[in-house]
Amino acid sequence: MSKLNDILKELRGEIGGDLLILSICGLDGVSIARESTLNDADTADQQAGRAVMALQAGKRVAEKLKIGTFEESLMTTNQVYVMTNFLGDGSYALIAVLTRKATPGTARMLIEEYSPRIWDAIPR
Amino acid sequence: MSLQGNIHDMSIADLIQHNCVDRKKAKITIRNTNGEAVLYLNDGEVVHASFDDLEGEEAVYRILAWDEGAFTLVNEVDSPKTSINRSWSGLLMEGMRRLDEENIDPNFDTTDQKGNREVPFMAQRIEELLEEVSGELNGFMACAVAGMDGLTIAQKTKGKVNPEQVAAQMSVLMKLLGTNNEKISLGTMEDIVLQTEDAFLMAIYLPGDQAHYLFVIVDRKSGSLGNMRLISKVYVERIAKAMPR
Repeated sequence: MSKLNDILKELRGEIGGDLLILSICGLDGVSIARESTLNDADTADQQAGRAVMALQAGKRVAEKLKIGTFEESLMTTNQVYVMTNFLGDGSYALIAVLTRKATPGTARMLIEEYSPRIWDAIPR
Repeated sequence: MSLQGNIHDMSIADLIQHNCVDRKKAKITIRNTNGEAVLYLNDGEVVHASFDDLEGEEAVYRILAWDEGAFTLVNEVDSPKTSINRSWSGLLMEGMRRLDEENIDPNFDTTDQKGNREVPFMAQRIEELLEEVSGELNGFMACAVAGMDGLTIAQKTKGKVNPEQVAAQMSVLMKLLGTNNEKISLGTMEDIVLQTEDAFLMAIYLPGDQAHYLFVIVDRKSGSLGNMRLISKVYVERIAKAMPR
């Protein structure tokens, strides 16, 4: 698990100061690893759990509309960007919450680049 | 290196968009019967513009409607000054908003004898805008304006995607996301993009209206996520103006 935490630290460093939360969650919404600038770990976990709920809803929408396998989502609010991606076989998800000053295109590319390593580092 | 062309073939908005996305440093000179306008780009933004006695954003807004004229683009030219601080996309959105306002005839009465605004006119106007959206996006599959009740107000589709089904599904998803955001203090949702192996699907609320949204679906292979976001943001402003209040 320390390898997973090291990779998240590395990814956090690459994304930079606009990253608020980086979390790996199972589809039950429980976080197995996290990097966060928030002092309140419960809030970070709660936000990640909710994001997984939304990710699963997005997956259902894609299935119903028959537009292919759901891969990721990017939500914009007036405060943050929330990016969610399925990892590996879809049994885990990566959630990233970024400030509105972030560059979501860059973060998206970095997450895509790190996803295979993160998946490999999840103990199975 | 320089490039020459006519804004009849490539609009000023397209010129700005393409060269800013490519993060070019360049000077664009546009000449027509109205005079000569100059734009300077640097590092993906429009940093200075001048036309007649105007400078900065106002000069850009004045020339955006031009549909005739010759342009010359010369790369690697430094701007003599910085008169614009707004992002290029914000500049284009504001320009489009102003053009829309100018195009609305204040004397044109669209109300019936009971004082109700005529819905067919409104729907027709929105359908025209959706038609424009379909022409702006490579790989366009479908788009529609829908309410949070899951019903479409106007729609445009090419191919097998059923906009009414999309609206029904997306309204449920957006309600869920709205509730989530409220509970965990993530702010007010503005838009959501879903990426699947075949398509990008974006839903964006009309400005100041959390009861209606525009959704756009483009094919993943031929479409561009960035272009879809940009076009959606530009047109959502215009659609909002066409909606009755």
